[in-house]
Amino acid sequence: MVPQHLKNVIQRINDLPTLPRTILRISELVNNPKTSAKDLAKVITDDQVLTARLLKLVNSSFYGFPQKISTVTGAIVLLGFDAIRNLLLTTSVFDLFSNKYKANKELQEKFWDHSLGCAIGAKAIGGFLKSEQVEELFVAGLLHDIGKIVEMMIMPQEFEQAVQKTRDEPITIYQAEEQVLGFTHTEVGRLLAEKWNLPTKLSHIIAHHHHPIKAGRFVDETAVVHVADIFCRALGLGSGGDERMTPLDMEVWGRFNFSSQVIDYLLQEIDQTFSDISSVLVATKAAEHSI
Amino acid sequence: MIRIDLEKARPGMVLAKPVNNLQNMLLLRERVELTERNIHMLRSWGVGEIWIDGSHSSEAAFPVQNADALQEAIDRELENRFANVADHPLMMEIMRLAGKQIKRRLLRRETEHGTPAS
Repeated sequence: MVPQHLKNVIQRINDLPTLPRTILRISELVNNPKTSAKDLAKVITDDQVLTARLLKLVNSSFYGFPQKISTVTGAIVLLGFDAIRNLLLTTSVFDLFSNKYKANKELQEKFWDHSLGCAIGAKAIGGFLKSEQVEELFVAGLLHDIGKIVEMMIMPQEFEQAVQKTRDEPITIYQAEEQVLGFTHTEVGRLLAEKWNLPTKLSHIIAHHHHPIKAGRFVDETAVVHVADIFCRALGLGSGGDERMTPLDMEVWGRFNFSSQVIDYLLQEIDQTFSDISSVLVATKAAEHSI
Repeated sequence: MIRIDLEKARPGMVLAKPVNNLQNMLLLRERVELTERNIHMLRSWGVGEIWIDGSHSSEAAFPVQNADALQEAIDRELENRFANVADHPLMMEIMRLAGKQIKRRLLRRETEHGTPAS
């Protein structure tokens, strides 16, 4: 049973764009150990926009390869499957929503920085825990707050009101949303995940990243994103609408129990990777705009 | 001239010898100053070790004259951000460690761009 206050949101979510099918197909291929560079190249080259984007990126000054890379297969061999998938997924999700929310550009940019930081954080924590799903965790981190982007687009004034409330009162954006909108980005995000037919795991992570213990069989993955969110807030990588720390769920922290030394290592790793990847995205955008 | 692992390479260090990939293709010439970008590029080519000038360590590359003022600014910012969880010892430890990393980042940026670390 859908609560009354969310019905209006559902109606408006139906008008939002969908994730390109090619991106979903690339994700599937990268997850399959039998996939060859040739298989992946075929799917990418079927999409002219992705092909152009990839070649521009590998030939950008960021990578500084001394020779021109003219084939998608060459780019895949140089960068690796996971990097290619992350790059294309990240830029596609950014594209889907960029320029659609003109009311507050700065807020939107900070939001994307936060999403990217959280993606990098989830991958770093997953890597430290020797998880085999680090790339899934990256995607989960990237999309965990997607409900906020929907709110920014379909109810910009109310969302800004919630953001303003976090500046006037000592509350988080989650609490402000509850007070101003009557629901939060976690519920809205889950609705979008369902519309996009994202995997159940992803939908659970999006829905429960503030309370991972409620994520049922996906509690471990959700806990990773929860902690990544906290690390990114601590480092000030972008902003999810407030400049505050969200409370740490001690029940799931007990699963990790990271020592100070480990926290220090992870914070360094996240911060450094964030600088590197931000430069790649800037390089991609610059290369696209220069055409 | 010393040989270091690429993992220890930092922006501002200067190459003492050219760097080639496994196919012997020249990637960077001698005397080139390392940046975040070209270190990343070397990493993507699978380069393991490089020769650099002098005896740089990452700390040696950081100017530290404004360290106290920088620390104060970082502390102030973090205390605001962590105000709602100030009674939580673990969150306070995360705050301390985040402060350490933010300081490293700002000092590195200052070294790379010559802009004040604030």
